[in-house]
Amino acid sequence: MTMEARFPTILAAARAGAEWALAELYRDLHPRILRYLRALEPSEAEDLASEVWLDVARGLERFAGDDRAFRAWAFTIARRRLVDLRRQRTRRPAIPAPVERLVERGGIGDVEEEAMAGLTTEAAIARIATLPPDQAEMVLFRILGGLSVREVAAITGKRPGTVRVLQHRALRRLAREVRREAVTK
Amino acid sequence: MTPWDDSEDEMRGPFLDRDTADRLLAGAVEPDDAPPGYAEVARLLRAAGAPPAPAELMAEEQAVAAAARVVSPTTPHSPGPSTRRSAVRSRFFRVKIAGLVVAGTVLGTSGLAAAGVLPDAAQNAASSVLSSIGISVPAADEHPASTGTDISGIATTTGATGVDKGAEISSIASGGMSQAGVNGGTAGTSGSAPVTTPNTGGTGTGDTASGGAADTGTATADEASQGHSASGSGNAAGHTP
Repeated sequence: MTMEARFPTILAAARAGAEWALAELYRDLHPRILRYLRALEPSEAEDLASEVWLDVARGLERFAGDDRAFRAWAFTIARRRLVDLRRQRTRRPAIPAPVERLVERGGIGDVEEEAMAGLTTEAAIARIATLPPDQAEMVLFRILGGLSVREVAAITGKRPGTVRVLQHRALRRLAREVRREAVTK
Repeated sequence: MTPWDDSEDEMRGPFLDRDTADRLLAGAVEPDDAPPGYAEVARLLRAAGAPPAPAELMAEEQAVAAAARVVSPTTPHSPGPSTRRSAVRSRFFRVKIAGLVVAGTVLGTSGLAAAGVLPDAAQNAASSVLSSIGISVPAADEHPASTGTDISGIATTTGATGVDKGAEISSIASGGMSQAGVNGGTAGTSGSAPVTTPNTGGTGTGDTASGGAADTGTATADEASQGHSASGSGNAAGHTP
């Protein structure tokens, strides 16, 4: 049975504190949130993702909706956490080089090498992170959350048309960058 | 023409229609089926949305335990937050309702006791209990007013007339608190009632002095005697010299 079909049962059990249900929610949600945060704030991703998970747990009783709405809600929390973090450290510059940081952490090897061998998830996320932040966010919400343009628009406070334009630019830019790399090899 | 022949496309990336963009972002396009220039993008997007790796779920146990504590801080495995809150709410309301019942009983009893209308045993008990918390109410033998029948009987059988009759009835009705007839008596003797306290026949003064108890008694007397009692005030007024 799919997560979509089982979600009401899982949600009810999780609200009652059933660990099996919380584990199911965690397995479905945490990797998505972690990847999103790694793309946009790699140095704080683990901590932020943990905070988001606890925020979700605290808010379970208030939440109403299906599994898509649940993911959209969790991404909204994650985005807010990200905004808060950046506000708190306005003196520090934005972190523009997630690829290098990921490589430094030893989580992946050389991105190009990974690309040749078969793209890993981390390398793919790192590649998306090279996009301008608003474009990267659109792609991440859609591919990680399985969310529609309208749902992404609701999370980001943008119009659906703006979301479409940003995601379109992001895809064309990715295609362009991939080709450039292939040409320079 | 390939997608890369055009210099503008090279700047912006290869053409992509809206539906294909949506399918790419849903991870629904196989690299081999991707439009020209997008095979690697399709591969990249599918990799980004791949199922969780074990490393991403390493902290699952701790995360779930922490969430269980947050969801159910006191009883981690059974009743969930809504049930627990309901129980707390239920206990709260039970205490609240019990408090209201006690308060209502005290106030209600106090009111009835103050009016002196409780049965003798209850009146005495209420007087005793309420006096212990500083509320003064009369005991059973301290009723401020006799029954209407008693007063009526006096009103129709007393030998007193005029002011004296009014004063007597007012005094009984008010449990001795009425000063009715004092001024009336003076008026009857000297023929000059004080201007500042005009006597209209005992009941007015008795009513004031008894805090309304005299009026109650008089009205009850009138009712109990089916109109035979003209009440103390009426008689008093009628016989005022």
